[in-house]
Amino acid sequence: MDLSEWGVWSWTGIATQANVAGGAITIDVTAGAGNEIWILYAGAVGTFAAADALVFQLFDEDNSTVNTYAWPADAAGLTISFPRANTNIDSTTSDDDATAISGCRLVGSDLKFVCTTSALAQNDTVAFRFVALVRRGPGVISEARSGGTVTVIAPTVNEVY
Amino acid sequence: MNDEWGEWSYTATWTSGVGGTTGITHSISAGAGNILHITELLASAAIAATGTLDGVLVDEDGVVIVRFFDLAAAAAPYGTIPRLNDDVLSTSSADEASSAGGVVLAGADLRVQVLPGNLAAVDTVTITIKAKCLKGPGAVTTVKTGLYTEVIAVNEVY
Repeated sequence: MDLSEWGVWSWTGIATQANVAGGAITIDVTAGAGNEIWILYAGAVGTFAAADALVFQLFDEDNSTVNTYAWPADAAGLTISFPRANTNIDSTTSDDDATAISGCRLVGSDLKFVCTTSALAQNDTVAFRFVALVRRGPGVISEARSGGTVTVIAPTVNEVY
Repeated sequence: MNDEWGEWSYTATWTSGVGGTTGITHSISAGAGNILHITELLASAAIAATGTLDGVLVDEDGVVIVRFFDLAAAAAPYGTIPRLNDDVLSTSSADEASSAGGVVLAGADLRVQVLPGNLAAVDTVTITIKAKCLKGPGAVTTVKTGLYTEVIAVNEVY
């Protein structure tokens, strides 16, 4: 890994589903126009009233799934991590799950590392945090593809070194 | 790799003092203005009874991002980086992650923490680090419960 041209970006924030009728929380990380980022580690903790899903995926520019990195069974409290070796995905398995031990490199505005959920209840939360290498500056965080009402996250950590 | 990076080699041992030290949190950071790439790390403990040993990446708020090792109580636990950690499946609800590429740290507050548990008097914890460093060596700090003594056996930058 040649780090000479890369900075380091550390980000932590919590998203809350505010809609009475609920909805999914979707947090997209992109590099942004003209930029490149390389997500090294990520963690998310879901705190849900009911049993729901919490997932890490890579989405393409058309918002289609490229790979799934972590997708445990629905539960009221879930923790997921990145990268994982995922040896339960063998050569004979029909599945979109993939290993990610080299991290996830993103370029431009539309290729996304996604932390997403199933449709949650009001006041359910997702705490999301990651460390990434960045080529020209920090990437972009968006909650715009969420369902219900998810306001822009005010991060508690947003540092570029 | 490239020519702009130095190499930092560091080994230190902490020994619980009279009355015992129930816990010592060792935090490894790059330090202000620096970037550190931990390529190898060994954490080991010699515990009269048994104790756990964890290695975690924590953010600037002190919250765990991912966990690199999470050892059950033992008299002589050993934790290492890198680890593939293929016991964490794609379907697991867990914060354990692979450290196959080592761990990159920047600044004073993004840290790898080594967390031994249940130490008694004369129990020891040793940490050995090999890392690439951009501007200088990393920083190791401790937060303890009780008394301890520290001996740094190796602290070289090349």
